[in-house]
Parts: sequence; structure tokens; C-alpha cells
Amino acid sequence: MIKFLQLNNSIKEKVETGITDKLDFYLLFSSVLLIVFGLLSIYSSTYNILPLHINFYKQLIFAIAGIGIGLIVYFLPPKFFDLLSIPFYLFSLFLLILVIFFGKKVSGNQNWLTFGFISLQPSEIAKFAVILALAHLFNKEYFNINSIKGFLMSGLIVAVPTILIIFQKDIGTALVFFSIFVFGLFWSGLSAFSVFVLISPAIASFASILGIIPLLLVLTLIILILIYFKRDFFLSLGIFALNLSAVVITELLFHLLSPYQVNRIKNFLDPNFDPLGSGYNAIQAKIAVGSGGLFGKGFLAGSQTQLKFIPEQWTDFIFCVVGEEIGFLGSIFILILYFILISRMIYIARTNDSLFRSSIVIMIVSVFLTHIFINIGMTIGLVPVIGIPLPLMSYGGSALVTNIVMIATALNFYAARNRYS
Amino acid sequence: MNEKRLIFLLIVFFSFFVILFIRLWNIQIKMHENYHNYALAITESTETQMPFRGEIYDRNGNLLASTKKIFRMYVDKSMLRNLSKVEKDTLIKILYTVTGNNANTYNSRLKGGGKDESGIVYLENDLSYDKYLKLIELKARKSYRNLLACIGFEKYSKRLYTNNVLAAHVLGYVDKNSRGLDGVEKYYDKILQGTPGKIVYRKDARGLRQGIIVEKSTEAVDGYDLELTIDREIQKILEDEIKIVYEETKANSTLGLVIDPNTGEILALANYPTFNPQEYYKYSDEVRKNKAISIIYDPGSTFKTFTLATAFELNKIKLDTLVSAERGLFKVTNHMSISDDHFKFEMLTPAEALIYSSNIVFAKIGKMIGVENMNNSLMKFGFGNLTGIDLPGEVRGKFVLSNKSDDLNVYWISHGYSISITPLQLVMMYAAVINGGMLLKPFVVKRIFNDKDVVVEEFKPKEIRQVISKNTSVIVKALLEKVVLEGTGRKAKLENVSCGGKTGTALKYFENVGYTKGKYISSFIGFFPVDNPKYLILIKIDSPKSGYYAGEIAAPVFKRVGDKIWQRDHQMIEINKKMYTHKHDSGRKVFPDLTGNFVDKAIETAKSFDVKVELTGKGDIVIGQIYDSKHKKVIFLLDNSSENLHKEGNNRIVPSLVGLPKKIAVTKLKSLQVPFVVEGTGYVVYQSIKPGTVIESDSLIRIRCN
Repeated sequence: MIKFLQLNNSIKEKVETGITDKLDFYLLFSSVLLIVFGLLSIYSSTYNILPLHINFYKQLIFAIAGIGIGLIVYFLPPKFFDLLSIPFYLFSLFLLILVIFFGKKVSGNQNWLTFGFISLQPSEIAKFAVILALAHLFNKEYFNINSIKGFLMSGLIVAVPTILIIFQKDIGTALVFFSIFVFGLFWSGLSAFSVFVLISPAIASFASILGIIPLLLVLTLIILILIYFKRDFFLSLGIFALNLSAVVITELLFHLLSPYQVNRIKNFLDPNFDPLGSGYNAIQAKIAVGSGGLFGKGFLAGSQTQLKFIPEQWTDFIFCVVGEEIGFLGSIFILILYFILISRMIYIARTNDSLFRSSIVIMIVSVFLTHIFINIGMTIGLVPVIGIPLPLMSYGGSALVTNIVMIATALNFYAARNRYS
Repeated sequence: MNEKRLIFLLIVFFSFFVILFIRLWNIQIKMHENYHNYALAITESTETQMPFRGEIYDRNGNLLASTKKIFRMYVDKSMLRNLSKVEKDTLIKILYTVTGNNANTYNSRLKGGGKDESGIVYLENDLSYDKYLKLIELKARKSYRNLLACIGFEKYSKRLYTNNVLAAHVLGYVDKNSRGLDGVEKYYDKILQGTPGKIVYRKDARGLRQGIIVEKSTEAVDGYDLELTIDREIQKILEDEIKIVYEETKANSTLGLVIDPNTGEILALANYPTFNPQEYYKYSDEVRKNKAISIIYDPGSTFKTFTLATAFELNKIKLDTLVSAERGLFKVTNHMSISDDHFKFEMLTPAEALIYSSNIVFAKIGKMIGVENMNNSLMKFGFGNLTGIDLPGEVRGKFVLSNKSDDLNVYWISHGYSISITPLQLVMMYAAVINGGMLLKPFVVKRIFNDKDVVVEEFKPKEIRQVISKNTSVIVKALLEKVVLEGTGRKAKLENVSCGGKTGTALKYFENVGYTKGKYISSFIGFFPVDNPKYLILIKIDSPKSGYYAGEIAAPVFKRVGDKIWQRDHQMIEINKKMYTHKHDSGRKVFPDLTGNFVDKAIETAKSFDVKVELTGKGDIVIGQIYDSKHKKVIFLLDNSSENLHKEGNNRIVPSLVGLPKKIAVTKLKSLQVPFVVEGTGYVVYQSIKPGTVIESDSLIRIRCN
């Protein structure tokens, strides 16, 4: 894969003209194909549910609208992103506050805003707003990522919307914000030690959920890494204490989580904890995907999908349709599309000398990567059921439009690569 | 940009995809089978469709064991959702119009909350066959197909023995799950049972049925019908007579067997005391036991026929051979003697020995035959072996005869002691002796009809081996006639037909005790007519308390049974003759419709009209006739010649079906290729189109049987 990138790198050095220089067809086509497959999967999953046929048409309209907006984004002069970043960020915060008071509850998450016949999910929009705001900050001349001030400022930008989203009990999206934060700081030059300090408590707390043995292993690993960095003894001790407190807070949070979230985690640890109740989705999703086999059962012929074994499949469990109806080969095809999508974005990030643009693309990568891994992972029992959608495929207008806008941004930056803004 | 960070990022990105790939491989390829089976288990529900048990008929198509078809009607609520309110009301209207049930019942059951998980609500538990047929007919119509799609039926069968105790020991009985436990019911259980089918439903997440998976569903194949060799009327005659003698003699039990000695077909088989198969559990094992095949006894004098036939066959004796009768007491050794209790002859010919039933002479003839020959002959006749009858529970019987030439048992076996046989073995031996020497395999099932009333298997008489020559057979047959005319069997002599036979008054043998004075088995085995025996009858009375001489108590039973059978055969011919002569007399020379008659009777009748007969096809029953009045010629079409009929008979005419057994009526209608519907079983009591009507292309004949 690195070769693949280097190959492109060498091409870059030649003077290129023509359409391929302006437009990344790999990224464009993989995105369009994913949207098409998403639409087909939504069509299939609502095929036997008469009142929900409309979801397919709604998604189709969202896709067309999203592509329209994407076109505008694609043709925006790159500096506009910088100009719009702060107002857009503030606007999204406003929406997030609004949703706390006027939000509509959907499957445990209170994150929908309804304007007449249009429902909006501000948390989706906030993802892109935070990315732009962070990139704007990284681009400031006075900004030094490795200073306390710089760290705190960037932390603040992410923390405000994250806390607002936690208020809406949307842990999945909060996790995505954390991922944006880590990837952004990492890309903009945060020292390896700091990255470690940032990530280790998250890993430690996750390990504590898994059980006592993984926790002890992770804690040992943290001690070894601390020894490797050879920092001040008390600092190292303090960081270790930070990790321990993360574990304690996790345990406490575990009790504060709403019951359905606790159950989801328990089910992840033991799939047969409550097979007909809270573990139902996880089990049924695995059965659907597993029963698909190599070639799948055929479009509209997946028994589990068509007989409605997976509730609300068109949203978070859309990958079941792929796994069941077009099988392992289809699943791999979808994975390859995502692989192309992400590797092209990494390529764009690499070929943009502007930190502003490349960090935006990398943070977009972080959003996609986190969504893809957690969503497909929960469908096939790799991670607990965390309700976040599959980018470009799951039903949901806000997410689809936001994702298209993010792809369009990356495409915009492809055209603008190696130009100083 | 920092290359190290890029590479680190790429590693994270790459490993994410590798993890997903491996996991997908695990679930979709490695564990696929598990998940696939699990998916099937939760998305399919299977409902077994039980077939109807086949029915059992006698040789003339009379029903002996019928199957009551019971239907349950249900509605699948998951499919009901597809109907609008108006459609639901129409559905209810249709249902109560057909069933005559209260509309409110359906209303509440259809609309009320049925709590059955599968979405099935039963509407009727005992729907008659009539109504079921009507509903099925409606369901098949295009206009009602969608409306009635949610209505389903489950079927059950219940065995009914229509003639109570008749032929109980042949038929056997079934348990409450309709599984054959004895008799034909057990021996042909698989054939009678049929093959269950299944309906595989697709089941959604809520457990509601979402239609049928056609590829996985199979239709139930109803059990096949059996046609027995049993003749219901002969069976009835035999049962009545052995019951009378049982009561008269206060015997332990009585047994009767009537077979066709030329084919080995069992025409009647009766035990008394008998039982009602419908309530078989109320009777003891002893009563339910079919003693014709599952008990063994020492036959006594009836066995002398075997010795006689063997001796003639081996040329050990001639008709004029004189054998000393030792004046009634024959000392074989110092410890063993054989006696004739009621006469003290000097010398006897074989004929006289048979007529008077001399034990001594037959013991001596046995010795003349010799141990080795006796052994061979016994084996040849099938003693010590199964006859192979198609009934369960048959036993082999036994005899002890060592290879030593001085084995004394030969004296005993030759007059029917020291050998244990089943009554059926005795009968099959006699059959061979009188039919020209061919040992046959006895059988009770003649034909098997499949669920579409087509013959799938026909059992032909099976010859086992020639045991004696035709010549010997003729001699022995003639001697047996003498027994009836002059000897111990005088009371067996039939009124209107020649007959032959042999008595047997044997001491009963008890295990560990030996032969017991005062306990007898009296039997008579006889046949008629002598020239060409059609019937061979065994009457056996176990431990009679008043009188025990076979010639006094068993021979008269033979006579009564034989006379009645002969009378019946004769009467039927007479009735037919009278019927047709009557028509003849009334001035119109109408040749009668003989379809549905047995072929021999039809020919007889045709001859009485001076009409030439031609036969096409093979089979017993006339299923069609083409009468040519100009040339005084008639062509009878037999069983499987329906194609010819169709070609030649341009104007097909509805035959008279009323009074015919269902089976024959159905065969007739089939041969005419007329669409028809049959209701009920037994005899036809009604036909929807009058006899003589020309069959139109759209005719549908409905017949009802009772």
C-alpha cells in the first residue's frame, strides 16, 4: 500500500494536466458505489415493510441533495473553509444546545431536531464543524501543539460539543469526537509521548470492561512504555495514576450508564447474556451475516433481512444486508471500496503541503475509519453494540449529506494539492 | 510531512481492515454452516401432513376396514392481515355458508386476539369430508384464491371396522395413532400408512408464518388400499358356524379356514372366541391370537392323508396292497404299542385304512416309507417351515425324526402324532394333495391400489414346488371322497355337490405332560367339488366338552359351511338368470348391462342370451361392454382395456352405478374417463347423472356411497 502511495507520489512530480489532475476518480467512484450499495441495501431491508418503502426514496433524495451540496463544496475556493470554520462551529454548537431542549428521542438517543417535515441530527454536522475548527486552530501561527496552552485550546474545541452530545446520551458519536481529537493532534505534530498519554487511559478503560486479565496486561504494557520514554519519575507515576483513575471512572460510569448501554456491553462480553432481549440484535446480526456464506442468498432473498429479524436494520445494521444477501465476496467488495476511499484520502492529506488542508482530510479519515470499524465490528461481534451508522450506506439524511460534504472537501483539496493557500 | 507518522497511521488503518477481514472470514466462511443452520431454525417452521390410512376391502370390493377422514380447519392470522375489513366479512360469510356454523364464532375467532404464537387459530375441529371438499373446491377457484389463502386444513384418520368382528383375525387392529399392531394391518402397515408430507413455512421474527416454501414442502401420499382374498360372505358363513359349534360343544376354541386350493388364496379365516378390532384392548391376547398360523398342534388322523400320498408317490403301496391291522393292537416294542380302539381288523387295503382311519395300518405304512423318505417328504410339504403367508406371527411347527433308520417316531408321525404343525400347514398340505400336487404359498392380500385407485401390485398365486404327481393326487382325492361316502366323514357329505375329506380326533398334547386322555382336538378337513376342487375347508374344535369324535362334531360343521357356500354360488347365478329372463319375457330383447360383474358371471349370463362373447384386456371385472345386436356378439372390456373403450365407444353412456361397491364404481368411471367426485365409502346409493345418459364433454358425475 505504501508502494501504491509512492507510485502516485512519483506521478505527482510530473507536470500533470487534464481531468485526472483536477478530480480524484478513485475517491469519487468508490464513494458513489458505496452510496448506491447503501441505497440497494435500504431498499432490500424495507422491502417487506410497506410503510418504510419510503426510506429508500428519502435516502435517494438525500443522496441527490447531498451530491448537489457536495458540488458546491467541491468548487469552493480552499480558503473559504478557513473563513467559514468558526461561524460554522458556533452554529453547530447552537444546534446542539437547541437539540437538548427541543430534541426528539430516537432509540435511546435524544439527538434529533425537527423542522416541519425535515429532521436533522446536529451531532452529524458537528463532526465536520469540529474538524474545521481544529484545523483553523492548528493553522494559527501562534499555535504550538506541544504547549499546554495549545493542548488545552484544542481540547476545549472538542470538549464542548462532546459534552453536549454526552448529554444526549450518544456515546458512539462522543467516541468519534475523541477519535477526531487524537488523529488531529497526532497529525499536527503532537509528541509521541503526549499521544501515548492521551490514548492510554482510553485503552486502559476499555481493557477494564473486558475483564481483569486484559486490564492487568494493559497496565503492565503502560508501565513498560513509561520506562521506555525515560521521563521524570514523578511524571511517569502521575500518568500511571491517571490511567488507574480512568479505570476507576470507567467502573463508576458503568453504573451511571443507562441500562440499555450497560446491557449492550454485557452482551458484547457474553453474547448469550440475554439473547432475546438486549443481546438480540448482536446475535441476529451475526446470524444474518454468517448465514450469507461465500456468495450470499441473493438480493431481496436474505431470510433474516426479509423476515425482519434485525430491527431498524436500515440504520446501524445495514451491513447485515450486505453480509447476508451478497455474502463474503460482497462484504469484501464493500471493504475494498472503503479501503480505496480511505487510502485516497490519506494520499490527499499527504500531497497537501498545507497543514490546514491535510489535517482536515486526516480528521475526515478518522471519522470514516472510526465509523467503519465500530459499525461493521458491532455487526460481526467485534465490538459492543455502539449505535453509529455506516458512512454513506446507513439510512439517515444528516449523516449522508455530512459524509458527502466531507468527501467533497477531500476532492476539493485534491484539486488544490501543492498549491499554497 | 512526517513520514513516520504517515506510516504509523497506515499501519493502524491497515490493521483495522485486516481485523475486519479475518472476522468476516471466520463468520461467513468458517462458521457459515453453524449460522446457516441457526438461520434455518429460526426462519422455518415445519408442519407434518399426515396421510390417510389405506382402506381394506374384500375380494369383491366390500369394505372391511375403512378410514374416517377428519379435518380440522384453521386460519393463519399472519396471512389474514393482508385482507381488508370487507374481505374479511366476505370470508366469514363464505365459511359459515359452507359449514353452517354460527357466523359469530368465526367473527370472534378471526378478529379476536388469538394467542397462538404461530398465528394459527382453529375454526373447526371436526369438519366433514363433504364440507372439506366444498371448501377445497372454492379455494381452487381463481376468484376466491386470495380470500381463502389464509384458510388451511389438517387431516386425521380414524380406523373404522365396518363389520365389527368380521375377519378380525385377518385384519388385525391399529393403535390410536393408526399404527398396525396385528394381522394385515401390521404386515402391510407401511403400505397402509402412506407417506407423511410436510409444509415448510417461512416464519418471521415475530414467529408469524409468511407463506410456504414450496421447494421444501411435500404432499402427503395417502396410504394404499388393500383388496383381500377374503370373501366377506364366506367369512360370515364360517364365523357363524364355528360360533354355533363352539357353543354346542362348549369347546375351548374353534377355528375355521376356507381356501382356494388352486391358488392358495385364503377365502375365510375365523377363530372363535373372536374380538372386535375397534376395541381390541378389551380382549385377552389368547382371544386375539390368530390360531390358524400361530399355534401348533398334533393333527392326528387328518395327517394320514400325507402318509398315504407319500406312500403312493414312492410306490411303497398300491391300491390292492394288504396291510395287517393286528386286530386292533400293534406292539411295536415291549414298551410301545399302537391301537385302534373301535375296530379289530385282520387286513386292510390303504383305502379301507383311510376310510376307517386305522392308526396301526398307517403306522406300518409309515415304517414302509422309511425314516429318510419320510423326512424328505415332510420337508417337501413344507412342515417345520413357514408357509410364508402375508400375516404376522406365523410359527414353524416342529417334528423330531433322527437320521437313524430305526427311529420309532416314524410310526407316530405317520398317523399324526409326534409332529406339531399349524392348521394352515395342514391346509396347504391338503391343497397340494388335491390340486394335482402343487404346494402353494398361501396369501390374504390380492391387490394393492394406490391413492388414485390404480392397481399398483397384484399378487399372483405362487407355486412353491410340485410335491406329488398328478396321478397320486387323483388317487388320494378319490380315496378322500370315499371317506365321506363310506367312512368316518359321512356326516360331512354335502347336499348338492361331491366332496371329500378326512376326520381327525387327536389327543391333545401338553408341554411337559404329554398326551392327555379326555382332551381332544377334533377336526375335519374337506373339499368340494371333487373333480375340480374350488374350496378347501378346515374345521378345528379345540377341547370339546360334549362329544369329541370329529366325525360327529366337526364333519357336520363342514357340511353346513360347504352347503351354504355352494348354495350362495348357485343362487347368484340363479338370480342373474332370473333377472335377465324376466326382461326377456317382457317382450323386449334387451341385452343387460353387465359392467361391474365378475367376468365369469358375465360370460355365463351372455351365454344364456345366446350371445357370442369376446374378451379384451385382462382382469376379473367387466368394466365395459360393446353389444352388437345384429351379429349377436358382445365384447367385454376387462380391467385395463379402457383405451379401447374410449376409441370404440363413440357415444359413451353413463352406467348404472347404484348398488355397486365403491371400488368397482370408481373403476368404471375411470375407464369412461368422466370427471367424478366420490363421497363416502361402501356401496353406491346415489349417482348424480341418470344411467343411460350420454356423457357430454363437461359432465361431472357425483356419486355417494353409504
